[in-house]
Parts: sequence; structure tokens; C-alpha cells
Amino acid sequence: MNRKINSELFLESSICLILAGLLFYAVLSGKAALYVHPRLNGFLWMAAAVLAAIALYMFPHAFTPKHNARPAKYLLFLLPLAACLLIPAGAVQSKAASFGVPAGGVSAIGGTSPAGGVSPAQDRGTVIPDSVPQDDLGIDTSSEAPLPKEDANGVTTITDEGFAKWYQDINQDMKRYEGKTLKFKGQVFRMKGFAKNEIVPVRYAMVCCTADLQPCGILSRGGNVAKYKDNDWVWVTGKVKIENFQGQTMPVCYVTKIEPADPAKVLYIYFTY
Amino acid sequence: MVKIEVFCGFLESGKTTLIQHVLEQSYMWTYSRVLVLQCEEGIAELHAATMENKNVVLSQIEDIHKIRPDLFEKIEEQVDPDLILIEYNGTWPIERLLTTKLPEDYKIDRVLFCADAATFGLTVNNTGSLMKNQLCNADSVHFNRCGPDLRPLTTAAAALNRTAKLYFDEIGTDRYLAAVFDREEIRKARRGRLRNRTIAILALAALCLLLGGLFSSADLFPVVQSVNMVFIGITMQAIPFLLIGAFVSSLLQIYVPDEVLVRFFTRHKWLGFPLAALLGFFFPICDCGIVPIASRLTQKGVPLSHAMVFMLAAPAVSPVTIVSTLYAFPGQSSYAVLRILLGMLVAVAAGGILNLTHVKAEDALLSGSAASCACSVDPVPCKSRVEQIFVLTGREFISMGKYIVVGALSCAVLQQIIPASLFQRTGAPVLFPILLMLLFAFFMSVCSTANAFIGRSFLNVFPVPAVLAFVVMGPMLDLSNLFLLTRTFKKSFVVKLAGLLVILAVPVFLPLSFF
Repeated sequence: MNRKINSELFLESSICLILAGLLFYAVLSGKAALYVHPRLNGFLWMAAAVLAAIALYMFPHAFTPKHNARPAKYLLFLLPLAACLLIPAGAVQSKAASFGVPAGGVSAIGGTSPAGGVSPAQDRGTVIPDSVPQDDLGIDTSSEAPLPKEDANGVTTITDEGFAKWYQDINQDMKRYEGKTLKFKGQVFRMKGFAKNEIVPVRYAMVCCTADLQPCGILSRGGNVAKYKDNDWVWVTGKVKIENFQGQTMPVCYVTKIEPADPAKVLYIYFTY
Repeated sequence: MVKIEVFCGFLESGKTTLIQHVLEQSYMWTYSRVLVLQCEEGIAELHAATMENKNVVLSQIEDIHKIRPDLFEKIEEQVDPDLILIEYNGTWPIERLLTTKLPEDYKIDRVLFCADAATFGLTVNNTGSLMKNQLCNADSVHFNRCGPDLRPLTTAAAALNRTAKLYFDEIGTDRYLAAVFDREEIRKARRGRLRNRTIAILALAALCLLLGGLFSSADLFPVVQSVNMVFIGITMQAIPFLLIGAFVSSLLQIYVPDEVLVRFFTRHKWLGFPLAALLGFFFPICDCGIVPIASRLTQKGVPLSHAMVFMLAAPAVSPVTIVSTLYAFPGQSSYAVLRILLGMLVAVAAGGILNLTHVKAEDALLSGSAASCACSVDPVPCKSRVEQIFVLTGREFISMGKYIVVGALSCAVLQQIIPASLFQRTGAPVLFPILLMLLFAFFMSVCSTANAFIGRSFLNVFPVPAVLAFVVMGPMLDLSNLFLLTRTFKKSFVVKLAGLLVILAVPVFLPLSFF
């Protein structure tokens, strides 16, 4: 065994360096946005720089030998490392998300709507879309996208960027959308108690990080929604009716057409923070 | 293999006596030639002549510069021992020996540190880095002439070296020496290690197979992936704030003398708690960054209750959370006001109870991190202050990082396995939703900033007091923060603190439901 170095400090400085590298990579490649809110990017830059500095300052000390070094305790850090490198980023399962908003899962889908829709003054669950432009990172802010308009065929298409604003709007005033034909994109989300022909095409809203993702979308009912698996991306076209579902008044979309879609460029939607 | 056993410690600390004791043991007969290398003349000189064992060779070196590779080459050539005992000079840096190149099959096996219990504290603190470095590198510490109170010794030793085994009497020392020198014992230990290692490898292989199974099974892969996403999310988000916390903690450690801090909190008899509660306003960082600062305050001698009030109230009074609460409940600033007031109320109440029940910092802190200690990690000598801050921040960050990893992973797993139906609408009495929300806050471990937004989504399901309980108590009862606390505090204290907070939450939030 080589006792000429202090393996503890050597590992500590390596961990800092690897972390710094991972953070740099995550921010530069945009992958960080899959895990945390883009507003943290500045913090991540800072953290990466500080960690790199720490690694540099610490490294020379690793050459003062330590006799009783116990390097095994750093094995634990392999865990997040393996987690980052081995398991590709993917969807956070809807079951988890519905837990993340337990019963509030209902609230995110419909729960906010009765409160907002029935009496807009009693503004409980609605949030104002982000008004701070998120500029260079390619994060489209909902505030920049205007509310969707009907086209010549009488279809209102909701863009990826406009989803957050539209979702907030339909929750505040669902009557405005009654009887209209909407076309929107989302990931298939189901909850206990849903009928076979019921799904919610949701976009996940992130507040801080993946631990607080909340599904946002309106209940959609229709013939062949059943063949799509959870988290599949779909375009849904259908007419909006206002109904009572599980004791809550909410807009329900009667699906006339459902087709597979490409994932949105920005995976999550962001409300004001 | 020639083992080198190093005996270090200050002059008159009992090194020579300990070596003499070793040489008199019967198991020493199994060695064909033992070389004792003395780097200083002990008060109690080795009486080689009286030793029956004729295989012991004594030798002395008086100059540190003689510790060179050729010293050991010469030893190999001329003496060819199968065991070397070095009585190392207390005033020589131990690194000199550790960095010396040894012949092929020579190995420094153990470093035994001898100490006189009566003068231990004084010597360690007054001899600069020399003694500290020797102690830092020790595998075991042997105290002589111990009094009845061993706690100061344990504390002082653990402050510098957490892994060394401490021995206060001959029985323990004898057992340790047998493990080091008795070949029969060594063989036994090696067999035991081998067995443990085999078991560990088998367990690891089984785990890998199990994980592989999980991956290949289509049903479970999404679960693993979701856990992974949440795990990385929490960890990534915590890193910057943890770094800030570690940085502030290092600054406090290096620039602010203990007395100043302690005086700040204890100057006024009644103002201490509110002051501690409001202090969080000046640390606009996430709650995971507050924990290391509060731990450092306790270590520096700030009364435990005050440090806890600061830690518990910080998420409530931090400007970042105030703003996020205002956003989360638009047009209802009463939520933000209530959050601040209730947060401070709970924090001050918890502090008051800690104070009244006379929970002392010494009882709550882990032995290695009591108030007297210079720092919680092994000291590293640094040339400049800047370097010192960075190195200390890094070491603090890494040592807390472990807890964040464990905390984040348990949250991610719990989020996946606890069924959502548990939190579905319940028509239960008022108390039930409050407890349910507390439980939920405990498992969620979301940031104090995100927590208001999560809480908001419950408004349709649970009464306002329960939601407030979630928003206010969430950051205090946060699972990963509690894990982080166990780095400096005893587990029993952390559990007590969590229990106290839950008990406090009921009388604070229950009356609200009658308004």
C-alpha cells in the first residue's frame, strides 16, 4: 500500500474536481435543466467554480502523508456519480408526481379550476407565469407567448411555450374556453379512479427541482386514449365542456383526435418564482 | 514482511514503558529478531540486559536527518529483523518517517500514541502542529495515569483524530497490543477479515444482480429512473447552498473569535432568542445551508438553544422564502406574515424548552465535535488564510455531502414507495390533516422556497391550518436536514428535537382552525 500520500485528501480533492466538472458539463449542455430550475444555473456556475478552486487548493495537501487514512468512507460518493453517469435522464414517473402533489395531484389537474373557475376572486391555486425572461438558456417564458388564438378552422392550438400561460388562464376563467376546440400537447398521466378512456395530457411544472414536479393539464376523455402509455407525448385535439368530475367542477376535453408527438424542447414548464 | 510499529508522543508520555511492556510479553518469543530503534532517551530506560529474550536488538539515533532510506537499508543488511519498534521523538515531525522510502517488504503497520492523561490537553494545544500531527496519524492512543473523568480526554483526542482507538487502562492496552503483536491473534483477525470481505463481495454481487434485474424488468425501470431523477435533482440543488453554508461556517471558524459570537447571543437575557430568530434574515440561503452554520455556532460555544432557534427560524424569516411565499399565495400576504410569525414562534418555543430542560451542548454534540475543539475535521496546515478557508470549506462540504447523499436518496425512494392514496382527501377531524401534512413535509424534504408552492396546491384538500403547518414546519422537519444534523449532533438529540417540533406544532396550529 502506498502511504506516500494522504488518500483522504486526495479523494476529497478528486471528488470536488469531478463534481465541478459534472456541474460545468450539466450547465453547458443544458442537462441541468432536466433536474433543477434554470434559475439555479447561476448558483451552479458558482458552485462549479468554487469546487474547482477547492480542489486546486486541496490537492497539494494530499502529498502530506497520513498514516491512518480511511479512504473507504468516500465510497458513498460513487452513488451520485453512478446515478449521474449510468442512468439516463428520463421522465419522473407520474405515480411519483401524483404523490408529489398528493390529492393535490387532483388539485393540479382540476382542483385549482373549481376554485379559480367558480369564483375567480377566490384565487387559491393559480400562479402567475414567470415574468422574468429566461433569455439565453433557451427557456421560453410563458409571459412572452401571448394567449393562444383560434385559427381559421376554429381550433385553438396551444404551443409548448404558451402552455403555462394557457393553463393558468383556463383555471382562472374556464368559461372562456367552453365549447371551443383545443389542440395541446402533453404527457399521458393517469390517476387512480380514472376510467379507461380518461387521461390527462400534462406538462410538469417545476418549482425548484425534480422533487417538486407537479402535473398540470386538463382531463381528456375519448375513444382511443387507452393505447397510449403513461408519459407518452401526445397531441390532443378536442372540444371543451365544463363538467363535474369527482366532486369538482373542471374543464373536460372530449378528444376527437389524439396522435403521438415529439417531446417539448423544454421538458418542464415554469411558473413564477 | 517486516512490520514497523511506531510509538510516538511527547517526552515522558510513557513510550519507553509501553515498549518495555511489549517486550516482556510471551508472544514476543515468536519473533526471531526484534529491533528497537530509540529516537530519544527515555526517562525509563529500556533494560535490555534484564530481558530474557535475547533476540531483542537495541539501537539509537539522535538526529532526525538519520531517518533516510539508507537507514532502513542498513538495518536490513546488518540486523535483518522481523519486527521493528520505533520510539519516535516527540519533537520530530512524523511526516519525516512516513515519507521515507522503505525497503521492499517493510511496512509501517501501526502508529501508537502515548499520552500522559494529566498533561495531555495542555501539551497538545501548546506544542503546535508537531504533536497534533503525530496524534492525527495515530491508530491508537494510550493514556497513562488516568483520573476518573475520561470525558475531556476523549473529547480532546477525538477533536483531532476520530478514528483512533482510545485506551485508558492496561487491560484495553494489553488487548490492543496482543492484536498488533501476537501472531496467533493476527492470523485470526486476518481470517475474520477475509471472511467479512467474502461476505461483503457476495452481498455486493447479489445487490448488483438485483439492480440488474430491476433494470431489465420493464416495469421497474421507470421507478428506478424516477428515483434517480429526484435524487439527482435534490442533490444538485443542494450543492450550491451547502457550499455557501460551508463557506460561511469556515469564515466563522477562521475570522470570528468564539467569545464574540457567544457574547452576541447571550448579552441580553431576554433578547437572545428573538435576536437568534431574526438573524436568519441576513442569511438568504436555503435551509440546507443553515444547518452547517448552526452546527458551527454550537461548536464555538453559542448556547445550544440559541443556535437551534437560529436554525429553526431561519427558513421562516429568510427574504428568499418570504418572497416565494408572497408569490405562492398571490394577493394573500397574510400567509407570508403568518409564516414568519408562526415560524419564529415555534423556533423560540423549541429553544425555550431546550433551555428549560437544560439540554447542554456537551450532551447533544457528538464527542468529536464538542465546543472545545478547534475544528470538526482533521486540521490541515495552510500557508495563507485564503487557502485555509478554501480547504476548510471543501472538507466541511465533503463531510456534509455524505449526509445529503443519504438524505436525498431516502427522500427519492420514499416519494416513490409511499402510496399517493395515503394523502387523498380525508374527512377526518382537524388534527388529522395537520399530522398528515407534517408527515408529508417530513418525507418530501423540499426546499423552504419550493415548499410554499407545494403547500398552496393542498389548499383545496386540507384546511388552512394544515397547509400552514406544512409550510412552516416543512423546512424544520426536513428529512435530509435532520440527517445533516446528525453529523455534529447525537442521533438521540436529533430525534428528540424532531419529536419536540411535532409536539409543538399541534398546540400552535390546532387553535388556528377555530378561527
